[in-house]
Amino acid sequence: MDKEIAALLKEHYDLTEVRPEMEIKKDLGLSSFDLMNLICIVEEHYHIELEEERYRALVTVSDVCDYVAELTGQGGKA
Amino acid sequence: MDQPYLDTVIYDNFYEMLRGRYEDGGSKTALRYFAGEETAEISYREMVRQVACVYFFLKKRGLSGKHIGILSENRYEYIILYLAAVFDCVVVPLDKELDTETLGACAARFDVEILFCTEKTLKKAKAVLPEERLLNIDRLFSQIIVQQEPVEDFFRAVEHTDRHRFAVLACTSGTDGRMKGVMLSQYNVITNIRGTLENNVLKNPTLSFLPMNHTYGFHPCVLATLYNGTTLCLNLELKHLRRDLKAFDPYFFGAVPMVIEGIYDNILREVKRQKKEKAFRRLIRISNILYRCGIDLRHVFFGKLVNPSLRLVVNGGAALNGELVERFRELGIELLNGYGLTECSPTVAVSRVCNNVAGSAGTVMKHIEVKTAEDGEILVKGPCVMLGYYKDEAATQAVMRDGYLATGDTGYTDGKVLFVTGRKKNLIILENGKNVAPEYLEGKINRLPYIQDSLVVPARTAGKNRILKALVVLKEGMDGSSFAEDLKELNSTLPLYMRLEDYEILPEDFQRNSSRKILRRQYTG
Repeated sequence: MDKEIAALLKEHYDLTEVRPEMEIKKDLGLSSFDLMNLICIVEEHYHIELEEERYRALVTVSDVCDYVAELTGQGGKA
Repeated sequence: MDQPYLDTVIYDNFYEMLRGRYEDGGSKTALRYFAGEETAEISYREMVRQVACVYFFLKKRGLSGKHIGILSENRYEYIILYLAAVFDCVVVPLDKELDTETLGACAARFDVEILFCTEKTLKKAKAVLPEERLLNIDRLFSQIIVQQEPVEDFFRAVEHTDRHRFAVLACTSGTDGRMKGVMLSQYNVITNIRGTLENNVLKNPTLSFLPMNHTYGFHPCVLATLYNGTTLCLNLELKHLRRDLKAFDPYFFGAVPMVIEGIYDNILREVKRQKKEKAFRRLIRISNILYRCGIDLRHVFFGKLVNPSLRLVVNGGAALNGELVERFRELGIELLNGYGLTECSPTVAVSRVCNNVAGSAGTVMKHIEVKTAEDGEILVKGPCVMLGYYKDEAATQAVMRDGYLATGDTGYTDGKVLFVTGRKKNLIILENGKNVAPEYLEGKINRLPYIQDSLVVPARTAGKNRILKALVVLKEGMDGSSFAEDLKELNSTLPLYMRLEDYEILPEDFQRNSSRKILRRQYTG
């Protein structure tokens, strides 16, 4: 899961390094607008829907991975 | 030179607009949006029919004359509800992002009798009003619109509604965070949306994605399209903006700087991802040369990268980095700046395609008079100016001067073109008697590529001299080590009294109000 999401981030946001503990805005440099796009990309990739109320809690890459794992029922870190 | 305003159909109230669109627009698509994976469409005729159903529902519930709150995410029902309630009730659009305490205070202060909510806002709505005063759009709306209410009966019922009657109570938040209720009439709103159409031609289709509870998100970005009889596409969630831009391929949308900058960043990122940066830059140069020779191939070159039909983007809500106007123009898109405030329904000025002056706040709209007071404050007079603040005569008196609304902003006009230089109440008065508009300096600081946002505040040195200090927040992941050097460079271009003699790089973003505006007073002491 972590690897997949890291790959999505690298592909869409031209990033060279993505680690789970990295903060999406602070460390990866994504804006609020980018975060919205990322949510959409993740939803399309996993065929899930993230709840709007949870967006604000998505601070690190790991937060996204955990939430996606929760919704897909998949666990396991790479 | 000022260009003449455009001619447009004249509707002086919502009855005339709905009747006109029902008869002229008939089967034309009014609203288009994604319902799940499929797009749904509602014709003008069907839209008016649904408005009639909701109008009679409100009447039968004894809600005529009452204040009807709406606490909802963007959805087409919002528009129907607004258009139905605006005749006999008072529409009170509420911001779903506000905390329940503030919402509760608004509902009480603004005398909200019934609150329309949705499944998504129900939990919050329950904390605002007792359950018996809530109406859930998700559960109720489909039942209301299956009624067979004759549209002609509706037209007869609303034909003679007083267009100057208080019909909309719009919330506005000052930078101190206190909410005020702005009373607007149908005439305020409809003449204002007409004004935007007298400045620029709106072609099919347009896209709306800003929150509908904001006057900017609703009046020029939703109602103007319906007034115009064109198709309004709705982006119901910002996360789907990319999909909706592609699927609906709009001619126009209204946005705020965050979105405009985000879209431009995405374009550059896509170019980089495709490893076509050099080719892109070369194509821009070629396109610019051809354009200067009268050959416009911008949409041929860049249509796939942006949107083939996109021609107009209006910026509002906050000042825009003027450089983006040129960057968008290179891609074939006119980025127009607008200026307004809720008290003016909201638009006062918007740039025109035929006269898009970079750095300006746009051309003052027809029927609006703008002048500046002796202290530079922008004063506005015209049919768009509010009826007053709800239950706050003192606040109303404080901003109304001989029929002019004092905006609190400073600026000047050049012909009909308006330039906003700052906010009067933010003026920093220096000990030498000089006044400084901090926004002017902040605009310069914000141009540095690594700066997210900035504030210029008065401060005192150890020697108690009053100086100007810059507080800055860096963009995520950016290095601000060159700021001291850049500040020195900036100071070298400024008059002595305006120089920034101290600075601080803040570790976190500024404190902001619900409209994302910086709570300036928290930093100015």
